[in-house]
Amino acid sequence: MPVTGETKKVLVALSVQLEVLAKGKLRKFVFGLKKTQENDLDKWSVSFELLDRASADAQFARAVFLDIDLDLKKVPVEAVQATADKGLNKPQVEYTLTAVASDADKLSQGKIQESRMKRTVSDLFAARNG
Amino acid sequence: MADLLRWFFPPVLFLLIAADQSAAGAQCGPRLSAYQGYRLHSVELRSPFSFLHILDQALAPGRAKLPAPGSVLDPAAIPATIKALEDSVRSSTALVDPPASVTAAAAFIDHCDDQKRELDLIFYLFTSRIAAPSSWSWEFGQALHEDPGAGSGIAPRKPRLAVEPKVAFDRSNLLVAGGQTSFLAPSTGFQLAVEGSASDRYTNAALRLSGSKVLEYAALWQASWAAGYHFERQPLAEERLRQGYAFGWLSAASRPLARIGSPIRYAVQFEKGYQASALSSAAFQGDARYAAVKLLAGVSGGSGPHDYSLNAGFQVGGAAGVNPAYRKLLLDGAYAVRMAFSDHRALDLDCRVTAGWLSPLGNGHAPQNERFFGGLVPRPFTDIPDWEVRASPSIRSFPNNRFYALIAGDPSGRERFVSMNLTAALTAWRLPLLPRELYTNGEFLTRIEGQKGTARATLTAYHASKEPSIDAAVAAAEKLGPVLERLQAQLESLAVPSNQEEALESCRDTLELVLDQLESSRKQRMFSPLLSPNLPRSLPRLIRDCEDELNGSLDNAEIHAAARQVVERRAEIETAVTDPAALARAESRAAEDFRIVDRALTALVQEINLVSVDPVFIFDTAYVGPAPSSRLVRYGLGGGGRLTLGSHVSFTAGYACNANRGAGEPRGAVFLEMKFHDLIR
Repeated sequence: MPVTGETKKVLVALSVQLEVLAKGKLRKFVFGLKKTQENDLDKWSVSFELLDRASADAQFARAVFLDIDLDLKKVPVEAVQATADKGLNKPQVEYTLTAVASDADKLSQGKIQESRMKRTVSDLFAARNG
Repeated sequence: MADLLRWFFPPVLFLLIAADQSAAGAQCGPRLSAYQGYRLHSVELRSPFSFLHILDQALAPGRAKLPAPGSVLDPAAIPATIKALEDSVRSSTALVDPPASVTAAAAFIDHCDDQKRELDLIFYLFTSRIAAPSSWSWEFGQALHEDPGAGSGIAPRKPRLAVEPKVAFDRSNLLVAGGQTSFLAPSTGFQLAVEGSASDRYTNAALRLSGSKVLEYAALWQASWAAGYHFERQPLAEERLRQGYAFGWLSAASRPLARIGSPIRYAVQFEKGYQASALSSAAFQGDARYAAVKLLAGVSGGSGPHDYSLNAGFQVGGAAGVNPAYRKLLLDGAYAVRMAFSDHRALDLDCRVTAGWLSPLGNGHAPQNERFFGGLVPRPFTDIPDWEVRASPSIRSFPNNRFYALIAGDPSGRERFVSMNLTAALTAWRLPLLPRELYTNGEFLTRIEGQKGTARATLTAYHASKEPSIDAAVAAAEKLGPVLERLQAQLESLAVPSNQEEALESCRDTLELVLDQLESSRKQRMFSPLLSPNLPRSLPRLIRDCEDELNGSLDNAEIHAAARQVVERRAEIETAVTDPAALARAESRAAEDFRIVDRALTALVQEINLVSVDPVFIFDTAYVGPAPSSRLVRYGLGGGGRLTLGSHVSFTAGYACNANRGAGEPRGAVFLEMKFHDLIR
């Protein structure tokens, strides 16, 4: 390969996380979209994390964490793409804060199976269209 | 040596790094796996704010996880390193916790050399930690461009000492050197600041203890206060003006108003001290002990490239303990627009109009020092540091305090002025804050926009859940709960034909999910998942599975009755959550909350330069009266240059000529200012 003076850097991994501090500063929602390469294929993953604390001066502790590898062939591609491009919409946020958060708590307490948790998370994209 | 540069002059180090980007190498391909086994020639971590000591420290744990130069590329290690960097930012207790923020991490490969089988690996981290209420001020907009690190709210939460030197020159004050030292305790919001500067003719010294608190009331969103002492001595022609006073002020801001999208600011300052001058006249006092009350109100904000500020100030003063002797009214408005014409290049236009009126009250006399002596550097109305309201005519073709109508003042004891300042600055050369690879990467920008959408939706959902109309949905859910629990008990003992067993199981599963959803929706006051026919835990799906598919052939009266209850309660919930007025209010409040983040992010990604050289053009006009004969209106025209080096130093120099000067007036004025923003952060 010829050696040149000017080259363009190539992006090989990207991660964007957005944190929203809820009112009262006692809860924090963290949404993440990650893109990596595996076997020369782009792989997307979505994460959701809920942190809470007892007072505004205390450290946050993790209450809920979900990290889901997305198989773009099995979920509604348009909704996944719209979510990736535009972020979660209001019905998805409400779904996350109710259904996903509730089932995450149940999963951590052993009250539901992981298969139900995966279905609940996959339904996040169905929730986009109300 | 590199450490020395990094500590005292980080922009220089950044320039050295930037220059290194043209080092020899070859273009890499898009697939990482093609470079499995390549040796890492260099591994770097870059961040636009890494020159800030506080962020540099926060990133230390992540930096320790970087692959070692000389090691072999492991593609799996790249996501792990990105995660370590993100965790460093998130777990740092030194960074502020803003209402919303974005952290983006990326990995790039570069200079892939197939012969040597080596490449460069570059990690990039960007984080925005945006301060909230203070971000609404006009001064924030200015600071964002002059000092992006501080403007974006990256400030430590641990006690912090700051040192900010300052050097300035004009023909009245000559070369003035000084600065400010402050100690901040972020956990309490207390700050102790000592300010001082001096030349042969000029002295300024101040001591201030201040604090601030963010509140959640509509009319009181942020409050701050201070108390201190201020002394100033400044030249006036062949004379001197001296003033020393103790002061205390309270300042507050409302939540942004929906109609204008900006908060209202208001403040009061009390001061008591002395003013002294050798000037003598019948209408003004030369030496006076005085007390004064100053009231301030204003609004400032911005939309897109436009920023504005409108303020009004009112002062009443007199000898301490005696009837008020004078009053002063000030109006001060500013507008700025940034017109981007190419990549990180813009034409900045600023316009500021200030007017003031000074009048005696009864037989009172104002001190000479309260008069409107104008010139290059405008006098501040109060001691509130992040709220600049001018109290004198500003005309940059006159040295300080050289623009006045009558040296001793009009016999009426009245004075008034109007001044207008236009400034145009053009970006001639710049080094953008973010590397080009990132701010031109469509995927990165799309993700940022997507995450902003998530934040807006989260805030909208939160505000919608607080609407009183949701009370009706909560009440409907509370009525529906027992109905569904009875149905669940009935389904447990229900016997069905074998061909209905699958439908019964489906109905039971859906009912269990709906009961869960009902409970969490009631707790969170968020009901849209209950109404969506696309979701298996919704009321429409319950009707379909239990009433239509199971009970269609069973015709069970109790299930029919439960279904009717579900339909009725669903209608009540839907009416409550789709109330247009409530939704509009929630969206409006979310937009207010998010505008701060949006504005700062757009500026950080698209506009701000780490280093820039800007030619500056100015035009001023000012009037002060009453004048002895005709009106005293003067025009100043000039220009200069400004060099800004990151968050650390800005250097401005120029000359403005007095275009229609009168007898005895200066031809013009040179201005020179070097400002260091904080050497030890």
